[in-house]
Amino acid sequence: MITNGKISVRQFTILVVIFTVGSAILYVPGLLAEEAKQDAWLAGIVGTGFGLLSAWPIKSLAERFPGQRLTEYSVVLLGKIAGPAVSIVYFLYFFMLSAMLLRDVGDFVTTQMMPETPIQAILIAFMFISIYAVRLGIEVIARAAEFFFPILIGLASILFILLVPKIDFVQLTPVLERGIGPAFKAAPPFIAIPFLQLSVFLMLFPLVSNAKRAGRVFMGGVLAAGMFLILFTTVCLLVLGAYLTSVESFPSYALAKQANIGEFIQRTEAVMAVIWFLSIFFKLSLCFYASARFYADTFKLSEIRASLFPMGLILVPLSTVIYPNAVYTTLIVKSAFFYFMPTGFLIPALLLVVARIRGLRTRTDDGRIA
Amino acid sequence: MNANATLAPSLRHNLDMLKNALGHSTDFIVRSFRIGDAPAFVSAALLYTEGLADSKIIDEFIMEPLMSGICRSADFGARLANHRDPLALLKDSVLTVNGLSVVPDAGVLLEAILSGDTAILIDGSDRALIAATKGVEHRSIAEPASQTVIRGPLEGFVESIRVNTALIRRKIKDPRLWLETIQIGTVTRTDVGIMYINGIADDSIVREVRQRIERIDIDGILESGYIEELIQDEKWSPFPTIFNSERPDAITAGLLEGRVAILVDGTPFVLLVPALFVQYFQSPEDYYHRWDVSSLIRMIRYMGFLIALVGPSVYIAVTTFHQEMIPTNLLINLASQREGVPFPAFIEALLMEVTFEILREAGIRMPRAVGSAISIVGTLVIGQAAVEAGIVSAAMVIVVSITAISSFVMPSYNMSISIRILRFPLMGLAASFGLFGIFIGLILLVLHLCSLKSFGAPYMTSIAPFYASNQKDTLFRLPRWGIAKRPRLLNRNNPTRGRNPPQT
Repeated sequence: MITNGKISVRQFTILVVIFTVGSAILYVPGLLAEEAKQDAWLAGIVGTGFGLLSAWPIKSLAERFPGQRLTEYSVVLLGKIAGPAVSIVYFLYFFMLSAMLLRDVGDFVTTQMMPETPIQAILIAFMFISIYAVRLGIEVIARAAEFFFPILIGLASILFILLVPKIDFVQLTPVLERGIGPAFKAAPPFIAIPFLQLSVFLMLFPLVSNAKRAGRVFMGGVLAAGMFLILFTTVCLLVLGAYLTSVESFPSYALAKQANIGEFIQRTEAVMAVIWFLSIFFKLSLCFYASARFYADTFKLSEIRASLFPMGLILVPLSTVIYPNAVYTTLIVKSAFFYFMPTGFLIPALLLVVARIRGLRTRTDDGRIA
Repeated sequence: MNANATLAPSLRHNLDMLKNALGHSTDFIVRSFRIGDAPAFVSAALLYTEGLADSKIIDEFIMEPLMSGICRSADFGARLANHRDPLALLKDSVLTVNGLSVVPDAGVLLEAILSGDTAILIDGSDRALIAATKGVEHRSIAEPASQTVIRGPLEGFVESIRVNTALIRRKIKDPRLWLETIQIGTVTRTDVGIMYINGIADDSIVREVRQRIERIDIDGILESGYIEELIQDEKWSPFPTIFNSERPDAITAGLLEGRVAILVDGTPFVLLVPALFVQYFQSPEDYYHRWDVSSLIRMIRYMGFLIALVGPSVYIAVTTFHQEMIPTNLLINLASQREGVPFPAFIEALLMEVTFEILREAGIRMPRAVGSAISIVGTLVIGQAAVEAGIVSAAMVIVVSITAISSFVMPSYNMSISIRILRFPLMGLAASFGLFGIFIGLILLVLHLCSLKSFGAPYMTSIAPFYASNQKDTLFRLPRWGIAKRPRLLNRNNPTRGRNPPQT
């Protein structure tokens, strides 16, 4: 059965990295550069720092309650009414997040690759593979991530190498032109996407075969992904410059278009598109899995398979109405920090505090919370 | 005759019963004779199937002892007639043939006769002697038609399971090489052998294979494909999850890696489980050439796999949706070529691919004598003539040709069939969604591959789940001194192959 799937520590790390890079890779450079200009890389470092802090309660919760999902211990910690209420909040959150991610794909494909194709067709196709993935189980998703990870690394490296001739360090100057302030001001959207979305892993921690190491590799994965995003932002700045990075709707896609080696290797944006499709596919699948899992646990369904197709059916139209237009998307993304704060940080922190005060943790001998 | 009828003491009765049971088939030979001489003799009969039994053995080691020497004397006739257990007497002191057994059961007797053994019935005994005289004519050992190599053993399996097991045993002389035989097929009663190296093969896999084979309920097995289809893990998959080969060296190598071989009488194709995806990219020859050459060739195979899979669909996607990805000069060339072509790229590609598939199938089925006719006509339909007729563009011919050639680099035929099937849905996706569609298709493909299992082992083992130690023989083949461990299948049972430090 799907719920009994086990994923190795290695697979879990890869899932964390891919999830964190996820949709962020397309937005983060632009978000950071808009406020912090040429100091966007610094804002990235600030954001990653705070991001790690916000991921800490998630890790602590998982370590305190090994082998158990949030839906299980929230009932014990918060009672029979508040506990399931938290689960429903999370269900809605991940459901909305899935819709947003799906819309991201749709917007990207219809604006950048295939302007004449109706967005619904793209959404249905992408939703379909996500439903299929979650149906096959988290184990298969983890294995597929493991399969694609070297390819992702390879493609990203190729992209960076191709862009080396275009790098211009002058683009980074003047450093700290307006002091350190803008770096801090630019960081919140970056903290929101992706670090405040990491609560999805509260549903995945119990599936890791080696629970002891899971917490550590989780933080390691987040850090690695954060560093990758900083690197990406920096390369965007170095190649495109602060201004172009902030005005392009998809700066990393614009970045990939810059590669040109001997008039022969050019227009490498397909490479970027593949990287992004892959990372967002896994992110969507994990969010979709988490929402289905929260739904099934809250309403005591024995398995998630039956609810996947109806949920997918709702997600496609939901994602078409979730943003009225692309401009609105950027607005939402900018204020995402406040929207994602409760589910990403406050609730896990609250649960952790309650668990600390009441001295509750999962006993390793019988798996009960006491 | 019912299935477990027993023999009666009367020879005449027994013979009538057996003849009736076989419907008086003309290849069922009954040779009646007497043991002893008048006045004391015993009537006896020899039963065998013509063509299945070796007549030389029957003549020299059964008929001759029974009808010459002491058997010609009345003394012996009397002794035999009065003996408590006449069959034992014959067996112990008269018959010189190897492999003798006594059976009381008519069903077993018939089965033995129909497998090529010879039965000896004597009057007054309600049991029969079975002599091992199997001597079926089989094709001589020849070079395998599929999976050819430049360097390496040139012998291939044949249709006789006995010869095949001998071919494997000749390579592995270890007593731990075990063989179990099960008869499958209520009508054909085909011998199916399970071969593995005890202590290297994982016990759970051996047990699983045995169970799945025993569970088969079918009237006949004519080829190992029957077994494959009945015991494979996933029914709805274009990918083969059971490896097959007609090369003894490939099967032996599999046994040494801890796999289990399934031999079926009547076919030279031996099955090997568990099968992994990467195995289909490995040729026995990889291990006979130098490692650097083999690694390079292996990479060419993976590349060929990719081209054969997505070649036409990428062409369709790029020319239909993403023209900006083609260098301008080439784009102008392509556009001018396509100017006169009346079809969209998808239809054009479909037309050519289908034509090629028809040609390929015709090439396999046609009588050898008309081969040259097909090749002449073939070059016309997917060649310059098609371009000049304005049906397809020249670039399309190149794409189809490179795709076709690429699909032939796979060492394993059943994997290249899978690509042939999958190419078409991918072309459809490319035609409707461009590169995005190809991406969707490939994700589906990888998800499906990752969900497959072959006898408990994840199909993508060594890539996902990733095992660092298996990488020495997955995408590359490291020098032999680098591969000290057997590949990890399910658990690690006796992993060390040997220690060969590089010679300095």
